[in-house]
Formats: sequence, structure tokens, C-alpha cells
Amino acid sequence: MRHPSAGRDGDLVLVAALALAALPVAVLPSPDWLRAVVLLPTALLAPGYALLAALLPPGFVSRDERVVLTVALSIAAWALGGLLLQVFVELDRTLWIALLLFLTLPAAIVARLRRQADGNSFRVPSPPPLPGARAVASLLAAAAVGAAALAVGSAGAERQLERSRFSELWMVAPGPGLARPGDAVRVGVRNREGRRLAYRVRLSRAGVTAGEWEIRLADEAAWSVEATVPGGPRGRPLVATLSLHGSLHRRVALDVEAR
Amino acid sequence: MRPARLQLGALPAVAPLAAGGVLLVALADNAARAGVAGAEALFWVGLVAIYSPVALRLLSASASRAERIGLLIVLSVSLFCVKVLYSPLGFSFYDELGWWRATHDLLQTGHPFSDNPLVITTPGFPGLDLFTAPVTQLASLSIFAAGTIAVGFVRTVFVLALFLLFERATRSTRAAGIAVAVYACNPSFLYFNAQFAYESVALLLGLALLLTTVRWAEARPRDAIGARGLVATMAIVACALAVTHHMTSYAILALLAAWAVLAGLGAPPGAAARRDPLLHTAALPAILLGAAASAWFAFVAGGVTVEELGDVLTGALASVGDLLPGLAGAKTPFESAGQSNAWPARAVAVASILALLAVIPLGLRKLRRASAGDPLQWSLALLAVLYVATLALRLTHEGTETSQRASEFVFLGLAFLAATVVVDLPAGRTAGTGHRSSLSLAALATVVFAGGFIVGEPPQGRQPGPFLVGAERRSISPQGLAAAEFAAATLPAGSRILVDHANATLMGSYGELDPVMRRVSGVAVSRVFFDRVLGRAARRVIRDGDIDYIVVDRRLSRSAPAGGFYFTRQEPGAFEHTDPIPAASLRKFARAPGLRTIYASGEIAIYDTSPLEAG
Repeated sequence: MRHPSAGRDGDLVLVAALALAALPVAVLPSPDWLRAVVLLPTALLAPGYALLAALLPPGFVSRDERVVLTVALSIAAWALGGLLLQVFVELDRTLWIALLLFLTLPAAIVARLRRQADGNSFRVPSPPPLPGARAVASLLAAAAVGAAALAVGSAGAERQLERSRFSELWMVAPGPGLARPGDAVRVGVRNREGRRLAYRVRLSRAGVTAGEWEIRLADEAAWSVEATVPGGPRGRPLVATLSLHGSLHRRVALDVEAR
Repeated sequence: MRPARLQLGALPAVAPLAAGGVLLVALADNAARAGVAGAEALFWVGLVAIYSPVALRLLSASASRAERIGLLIVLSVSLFCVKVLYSPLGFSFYDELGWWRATHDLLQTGHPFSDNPLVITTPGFPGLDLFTAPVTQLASLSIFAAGTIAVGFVRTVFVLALFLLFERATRSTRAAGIAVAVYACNPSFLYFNAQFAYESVALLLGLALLLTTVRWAEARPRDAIGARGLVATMAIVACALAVTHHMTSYAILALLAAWAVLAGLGAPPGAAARRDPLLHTAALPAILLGAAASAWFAFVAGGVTVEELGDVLTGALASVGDLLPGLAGAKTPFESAGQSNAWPARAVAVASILALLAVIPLGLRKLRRASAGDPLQWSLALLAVLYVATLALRLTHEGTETSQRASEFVFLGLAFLAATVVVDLPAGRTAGTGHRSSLSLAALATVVFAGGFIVGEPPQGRQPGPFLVGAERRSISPQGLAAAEFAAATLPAGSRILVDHANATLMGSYGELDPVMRRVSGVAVSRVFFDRVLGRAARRVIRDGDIDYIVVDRRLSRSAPAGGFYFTRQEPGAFEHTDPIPAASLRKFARAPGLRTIYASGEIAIYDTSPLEAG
């Protein structure tokens, strides 16, 4: 065991620094990878660690128990803190940052004050031993193989998705209920056929063409247009058709309310 | 001064083996997606490559404590990767999509209590989404990425917590490692409790409460400085658990209560009596958790808890009641709606069950003979005895779900008893008998692990693969995802729809719609789809249910549902369908007066009911 006065608060300084570092990373424009690298471990560990340090003196629980309780208290901090705050305000990123700082920094300060007050009642445990270089290399190799497995699995799942080939056609009225002559309806197409294709979209009512479009869409691309509902015989719907390679491929329709 | 190097023993050799097993599972799943023969065999080889070396080394007497913890972390991470590999691009499990919806609604509205058509309890137990939302927003991750990372991390720490609890209960690091390896054999471990759902997080909170209870019960007077902090820790964790998951709260409460009662009564006959002040036993955390769970039930979650657990439990009781006089409700073991396990799988599952059953009397006998069986040990032993009852429930369709949900708690006891039995057997330190014994035990443990997975997952659910009708996650398809994407972008959020179960998980989550799947005005929703014409009953469902759209998947007419039902477990003919929905029944929607096709993708069409309602 180390002497308690020798750098006993390094852990508190680190967790407070993480919480403070989270502020600019979260608030200022930052690349997503930086946010993930800095904020993910901070969110998962910092509030719980600081809370636990404030509640229990060092050495009161074992290092392994401290890991478990740190994560449990982090979950609790977010769940209970968010539950309380949502009574007063909407939960958003700003609030989460504020909660992170509000929980972590005061708890770290309380923990430091308690350690000073407790004096030599508890001793800071020695740092854990580290594995040898060979062991580390082997574990890193295992992690790399595991990551490769996830990449292989993801690629396979992508291929399965790509094996499905279809096109979508849709048409929606501007609001609830039936469309009326003069309303603007939206017609849309999405190409999921796996290759670039040419489509013909036709809008008609009672056999009278109200609009016709020749479109070329890349794979996964979408197209939509706003069209006006024409007048027509009572009871005749507005019909949109999608033709592919000269053949009728899809058909949708909307009922039109008589004026 | 830093001590000597961390002794990891065989871990540097076992970890690459486990990673290799994960790679084999990835290749097997890709083969399964392509319908290639041999995919299932490769999958099992991968699982064995992950589990068996770890089990073998945990059985050894020479492994250090650090090595055992390292092995369990490798096992946990590897098996979690197996679960992720099932669907690495997005959630596909029903509960996961329900919790995606809950988290999404929290991110959109800033409040956690939105109604959820998929998992009705999410408004009552917002712990998971309140934990995931900040991870999502702060780290700029998708809900899928944040949820997967968070659950994977929490689960690994959960395995560590299990080890610590068993270490305390058995007073042996070797027995603790063995116990965790047995716990991993529970039917819910590989998939159900690894999913993005509230129980996955609640289990860690429950274990954390148990660990602090151990500390509390063993605290000495000089620990007074930390005692108040320990009580505060227990109170915080208990409150978090109460707002996160009902069943875990109640199960942990029952365990704590049993522990407290046994501590208060003293040790079982033949052992020295222990008397502690009541509040210095498990009674205090039991009171804390009981108060938190009761208050939460009374003021927030009572309605949804009764609705969900009431359905599950009454269904299980009803089906057992039907079973006893030989009436309906019986389920053929190892079969699920026409999907049956091959005989090798059945043999492995039966062997697994028999091995676990054998552990119970052997473990109880050893516990009784021990000079000082303590209350925690006897509480865990009581849990193990419940395993027999959960097995009986698996003989019915409705009871299977209850049995599945109970397994993660019952196996706490089974794992403890198994470890106490196995730890006395010759270990791997000595050549000859010891090594042979370890190999035999590792082989048996692998059989139990495989059997647990076979019991817990139907054949069609173990690996991904081509689309299947009515097969939950095997029915998640690009067409369904595309229709849900269209719905989210174009249809009013919260629109009420009639839709089959599989597409409902997508429409109710990514589509942000409100699927109606059970009964409306006494008429089963399934009838709207099964009837050959859109008759009076169907129109009543549409009108009385305020249905805005009907989503029809033509593939429902190609086969009977692999999971036993198209819409709900309670639909007429559930688990007895031999023929698919007639194609003509699904075609009727395109011609029915009062319905209009507003979306068509070939397999899926969405019909607007506005003309029907206007007429």
C-alpha cells in the first residue's frame, strides 16, 4: 500500500478533467469520432466514479467492486438525474452536459474533502499490476480478430440487403382525409433495384393524364414531385403508375372528394 | 512500488481461440444468410471454440484470480459479439425495436414517458432510455451504436459482478469462475439478455445491489465511516433498479427478503446460528428496494406493469390449467409451430437439462453438510429449486415465455449449486486423473451451454437467414425497412395501422406509427386479413379502431408462420396454423371499396382507409 499522501487524489483529478474536457468537445463543433472517443467513456464512467468516491472512502470496497459500482452509479446518475430534471425542463444535449458536470465535479470535490478529513483512516490501494508485453500483444491480436469478425459479419449483412431488388411508388394527399381537386399531392419513387434505371411516372384521373415524367434514378436514389389534383368525374380516383422497361410495375391511387 | 506483472496464465492463448470462434460464427452467419449448406454446423463449431477453452481453463486449479476474471471477460465479450453478428447493421429483436422507439421519442420530445405501441412498459420504466439518450447525444452516435456499446459494456461488467457475488457465496475464486460459466448456460444469456432492452441493464443494477448488501452484512463497527455511504449507495442503486425493470426489481427483492429472513432465523439446522441486528442484514436493502419499487408501482408504473405481467402470468397459468386435463395449450417439446429441432439438438438439450437437474440434489446435500451454510448460500439454493417449476412451464406455449424470463434469476441459484458440486471434483493441476476430469467436465459444460441455447431459441431464430414468414427477427426484411422509412418520412406520426407482427416492429419503431394488433370491439385484427372479403366485422375494426392505414405483406400468403402466429399469440389458430393466409384474402384490399393503395413496393402495400371512413 502506498502512503496516503502520495498522489492519492490523482483519480479524482482525472475524472474531473474528463468531465471538464467533455464540455468543449460537446459544445464546440467537433468531429464525431472525437466526441465518441472522449464522451463515450466519460458518460459511462465519470459520474459513477465521482459519486462512489464521494460516498465510500478509498479501500472500503475492492477494486473489482469499485468497477461494478462505478458503472451502476453512472446508470443511476443518468436515470435518476434525468427523471428529476425532465419534470422541469426538456432533456437535450445541453442538459446532459450540465448534468454530467453538476454530478461529477461536486462529487469529486466532496470526495477530496472527505479524504482529507478522513486522514489516515483509509489507505489508497496500490496501483494494479500490469500484464507482460507478450500477453498484451496476444490480447490485442485477439481484439483485432474479433474486430475483423464484426467487419466480415457486417459485410455479409450488407450483401443480404443488396440481394433484395425492388422499386417503391407512393402518393399521399396533403392532409388527413380525401384529396380534393386543386389540392397538391406528392408522388414519389425510390429505386432499390441495385442499378441505375429509367422509369416513367404517370398521373391520371378517369383516363386523362394529369402529369407524366421520365426519370432516371441511381440505386437507392429517390424522386418526388408535387402535382395538382385535376377535376374529374365523381367517384374516380387519382391514379399514379410506375412503368419500368415499358411495363406497368406499380400502381397507387387516392380517392378524390367531390366538390 | 508497482507489484510484479499481472499473472494471466493461459488467457493470452485462450483469448485468440475465442476470437477465432467469433470469426467462425461470422462466417457461419454469412453462409446462413446465403442459404449455404453447413452454416449451422460451422456456427456450432464457432460457439464451442468460444466456450470450451474458457470452461476448461476455469475448471483448472492453477488459474489465478486475475486470469479467471480475464477469461470471463473474454467469454462475455465474445458471446456478445455473437449476438451482434446476428444483426450487425441494426436492431432486429422485437424488444430492441421497442426500446429504439422509446429512446427516439425521448430524444424528440425531451421527456421519457411517451406511449409505446410495441413495448407497453417503456413509459413506466424509463431507466434504459434515460441512460442511453445522453450516451447517444453526447457521443454523437446513433441509437443503435450507443445502445449496442452501452449494453455490451454493461453486460461485461455484469459478468464481473456475477463473479464477485459467487466468489463471496462460495468463498472460492475457482468456484466463482465455474459458477459464471454455468450461468452463461442459461437459455436467455446469449441473445435475450444481450439485447438492447431494460432487463439487460437492470441485471447489473440488481447484482450491484446484491454486492453492496454483502458488504453491508459483513461490515464491522470500524467501518462506520463508510457505512452511511454504503446505505446511500444501496438506496441510489435500489431507486435506479426500481425505475428500470419490474421483474428484476421483484426478483432481487425476493432474494433479499429470503436472505434477510434466513439471516434472522439463523442458519439451517446443524449449523451454528448467526444473529445480526435486523437492519444490519439484507433486510435494510430489501426495505429500500421494496419501498422504491412500491412507490414507483403506486405512482407511475402500476398500470403498465399489471398489463404486461398480468398478461404473461395469466397466460402461463391458463395454459398450464388447460394442460393438466389434457386440453389445449400443450406444446410438443423442442418444437415450435412446425419448426422442430433435429434429434442431435434434442439429445443435447435433454442432456443439458438432466445435468442441471442433477446439480440440485447434489448441491443441496453438500450445502446441508457444510459446517456453516450462510443465508446468502441458502437463498441462492432456494432459487435453484425453482428451476424444476420453470421446466414444467416450457410444456406450454404461454408458459414458455414465463420460463424464459425466469431463467436469468433461477440460474443464479443453479450456477451456485453447480459450482459447489464441481469444485470438489479433481482439478487440472494434477496430471492423469485431474486432467481427464477437467476435460470431461469441460465437455459436459459445453453440452449444457449448447443445450441452454437450444432450449432458449427456436431453430429458425439461432442464426440469420433468408426471409421467413411470421418468424420475428427472421421476418425483418429490406422491404419492411423501406416501408417503415416511407412511413416515417411521409405519414403522420402516430397514425394507427393494422399490420402483421413482424412489420409492426418496424412500423412501430422506425416508422413511428401505432400498430393495432389485438382486438377491436371484440373482433380479432387477424380476421381483417384472413377473411376473403372486407366484410362488416373488418369494417367495424377499421372504424371503431380509428385505423388510418392497413399494411399488407403479400409474403404472408406463402407459408404458415414459422413462429406460430401472424399477428399475436392470442389470435385464433395461433400455434396451429398449417396453411398460410389465402392469397385471395390479401388481394381483397386492392379491390375493396373504401381502401386506396398509397404505397406499393411489390411485396408490401399500404392502404389508406380515409375513403372508407369518409363513406
